[in-house]
Amino acid sequence: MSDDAKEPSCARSWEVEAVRDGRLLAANESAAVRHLGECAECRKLSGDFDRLGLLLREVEVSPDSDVAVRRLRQRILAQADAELTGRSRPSHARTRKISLIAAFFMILAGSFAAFRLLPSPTLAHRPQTTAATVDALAEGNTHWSRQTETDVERIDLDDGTLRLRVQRTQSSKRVIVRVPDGEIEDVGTVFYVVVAHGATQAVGVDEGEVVIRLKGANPLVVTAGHRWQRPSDSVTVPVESLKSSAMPLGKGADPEPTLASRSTTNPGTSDSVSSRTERANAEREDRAYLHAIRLLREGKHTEAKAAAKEYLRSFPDGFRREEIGQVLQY
Amino acid sequence: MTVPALRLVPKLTPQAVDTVALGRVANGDLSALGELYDRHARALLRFASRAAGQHEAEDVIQATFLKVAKVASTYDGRSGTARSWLYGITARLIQERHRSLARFARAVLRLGEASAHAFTATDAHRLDIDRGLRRLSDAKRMVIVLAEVEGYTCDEIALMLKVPIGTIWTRLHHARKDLRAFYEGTSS
Ligand SMILES: [Zn+2]
Repeated sequence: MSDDAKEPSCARSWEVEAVRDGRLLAANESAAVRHLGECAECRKLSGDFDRLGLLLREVEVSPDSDVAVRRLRQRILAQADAELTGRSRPSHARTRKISLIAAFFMILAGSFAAFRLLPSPTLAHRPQTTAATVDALAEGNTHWSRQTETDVERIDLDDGTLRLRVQRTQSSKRVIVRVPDGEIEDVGTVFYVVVAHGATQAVGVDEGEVVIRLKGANPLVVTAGHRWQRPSDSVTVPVESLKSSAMPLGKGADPEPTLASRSTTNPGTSDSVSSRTERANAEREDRAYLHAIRLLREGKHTEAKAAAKEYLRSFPDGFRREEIGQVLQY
Repeated sequence: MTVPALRLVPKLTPQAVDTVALGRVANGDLSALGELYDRHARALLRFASRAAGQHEAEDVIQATFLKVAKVASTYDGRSGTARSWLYGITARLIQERHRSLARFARAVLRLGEASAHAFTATDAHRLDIDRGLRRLSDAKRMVIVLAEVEGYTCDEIALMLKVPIGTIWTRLHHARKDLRAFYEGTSS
C-alpha cells in the first residue's frame, strides 16, 4: 500500500497541482517549479500526476467505424435540414415535410388512436367474420375514408399519411388500405402508409406484416421493422421527410423498390437490409473515390477525370463530391 | 486516406476554417455543418465515449451538431476556439443527459463495482484506471477528461462548462485524488 503517498508531508505539495492547473501567478509559479527541483516528494507527486494523465489518455476507446461515422453524419444533416427548413423556409412542401415528421414522432411518443374506427353494425348478421379494431392516426391534410364491406374493412387513402394499428383475430375481416395505385393488406399489424402525387410513397411496418399490391408490380410482403419506399427517381418529397427521421438517406442509386429498416433510435446497429445496402453503397462510393485519387496521383489525369465523372454520375450526392470536383479541375 | 494534394484553396488556420464554417451554418448552409462534422466528429466521439460511455457517444454527438445548427450564430471567436466551443456543447449535453439519467447511471455503476473488486491482476493499470474513471461522478469525470485527455486548460474548461474556474480546480483535485486512491488501492 502507498498510503504515505496520499498524505504528503511536504507543506508545499499542493503547489504541484496548482502549477498544473494554472492556479498560481507567474512569480509563484516559478517558485513552485524551483521547489519541485529541490523536493523529491513533490517531484514524485508530479510524476504520479503525469502518469495518471498518461493512463487516462490510454484508456481504450474503440474507434467508430467509417460507416458508423458516415451514417451518423447523414442522420445529423437530414435532421438538421428538417429542423432548419421548418424554422425558416415555410413553403407548402416544407410545411408538409415537417408535419409528417411531427406525425411520425407523435407515433413514437405513443400518442396513437386519434381516430378509432368503430366496428360496423352491419356485421351483426355475419357472425363468422367480426370487425377488426382499427386505430388510425392521420397526418394533417390527409384525405382518407373508411368503409366496411361484407368481408373487408376498407380504408381509402387518397393522399397523405395514415398510421394504423389493427387488432384482429382469426375470424376478423380482412383489412385493406386502398391507395391510388393499388392496395395494402394488413395481416394484423401496426403500420403506416404515405401517399403523395397520386402514388404510394412509403409503407413502414412496426409490428406484424402487410402485403403491398401495387399496379404493375409483384406483390410484396413487408415485415416488422422494415419499410418499403418508392425508388428515389420519383418525386418523393414526403418520403424524404420520413427518411430524415426514420432512416439514413439511402443515396446509392437503387433501381428497384427497396425494403429498408425503420429502426429509428439506432439504425447503426440494425443488421437490416437498409444498413447493409447503405454499407455496400458507402463502400462502393469509397472505392470509386479512391480509384479516382489513385489515378490522379499516378499522373493519369485523363483517366482520373473520367473516374471522377463516373463517381459524380453514380453518387451525385456523394460525400466526396467536392473533392472529386477538384479532380475535374486538374 | 487524406488528399492534401487536392487542397486548392488558400491555406487557412483550422480555427479560421471553423469560424467561417460556423458563420455559414448560421446562415443556413448545412454543407458547412457537414464540414465541421468531418473535421471534429471523430475527436468528439472519442471524447464523448470517455466522458459519457461508448453507448451514449453517438446520441450525444448527434445532439451536439443539431445544437450547433441552431446556435452557430452565437459563436464569437472571443470565447475560445471553435473546437473548444464544440467540446463545450458536447460536455454540457452530456451533463444534461446525465442529470436526468443520474439515478439510473448510479445503479448501473454500483452493479459494475460489485464485480470490479474481484479483479486482482497486477498488470492491469489501464483497466483499473478505466474502472476508476467510470466510478467518478459525472462532474469530476468530465473535468479530468477535458484536462488530462483533451488537454484543455482550466480556464477553457470553465468557459466550456459555464462554471466558475474555482469549481473546475476543486473538481479536478478531487478527481485526481479519487483516481489515485482507486489506482493505488487496486494495484498494490
Ligand atoms: Zn515539496
